[in-house]
Amino acid sequence: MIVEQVVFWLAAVVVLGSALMVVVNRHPVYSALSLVGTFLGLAVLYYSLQAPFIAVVQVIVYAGAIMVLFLFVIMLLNEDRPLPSGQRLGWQIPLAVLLVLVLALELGSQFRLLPASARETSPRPGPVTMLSAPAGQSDRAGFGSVQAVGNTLFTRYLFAFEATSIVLLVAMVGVVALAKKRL
Amino acid sequence: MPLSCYVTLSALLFLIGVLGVLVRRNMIVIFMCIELMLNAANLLFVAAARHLRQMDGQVFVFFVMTVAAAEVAVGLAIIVALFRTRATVDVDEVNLLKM
Repeated sequence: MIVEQVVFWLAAVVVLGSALMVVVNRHPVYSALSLVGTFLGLAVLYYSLQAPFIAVVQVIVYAGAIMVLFLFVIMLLNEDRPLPSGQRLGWQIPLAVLLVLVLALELGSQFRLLPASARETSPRPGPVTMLSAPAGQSDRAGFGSVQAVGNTLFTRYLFAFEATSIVLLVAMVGVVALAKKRL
Repeated sequence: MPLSCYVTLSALLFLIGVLGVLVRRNMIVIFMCIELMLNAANLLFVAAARHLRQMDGQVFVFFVMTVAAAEVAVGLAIIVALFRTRATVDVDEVNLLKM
């Protein structure tokens, strides 16, 4: 329990700190690297939430593919420099902060709609949590394992899975069409 | 950790993403902040899946990641095509439809 709490707070600080660095940095490459930090912090959180498969997929897909795409494009366009302050965003930044605070209040007002069980930390009966599993005892088909994800993915969500493959095909065709010299 | 902690963390991450989209002018950084918002939703899904002891949340995260990857590919292709015609990644410069 205490390990889970320490991991949560450390990962939360990393995630939120890196996210702020994404927003604040003047150079896009520093923003991209901070975003990688956010993704890695989130992967740690997923692992502590008994989702080891999702944690690994997060690192592979987000940090390993999407961020590589971002860095390729930043380097391809040679735009790793702060934008010239031609038209200063004078009054728009405080207005944006105010609007985000309004959104925060709106989200916070819905907090009471959470069920009462959302605030208790009672240890749940069931499969041993990933962080406290004794060495040598593998929880192979437990909650969050590859088998569990595969079972649900290929039975209940089979149609969505097939549709996702079509989404990827459409994305590939679209990217090839957009990258042509003469549209 | 109670679910409410993860809900708060997800909401804060989402709000930082919204702030980034509103404040930044670089198209690529705006896109990165959109990814932050998607990840906030993913975190909420995984936390809710553990809270409710159902695998559906994690499977949906799988789908969100797939769609996010496709969206990033197409979005970056659009940014590159836009850069070819306007030679800038500043969203304030892309105002051909302005009255």
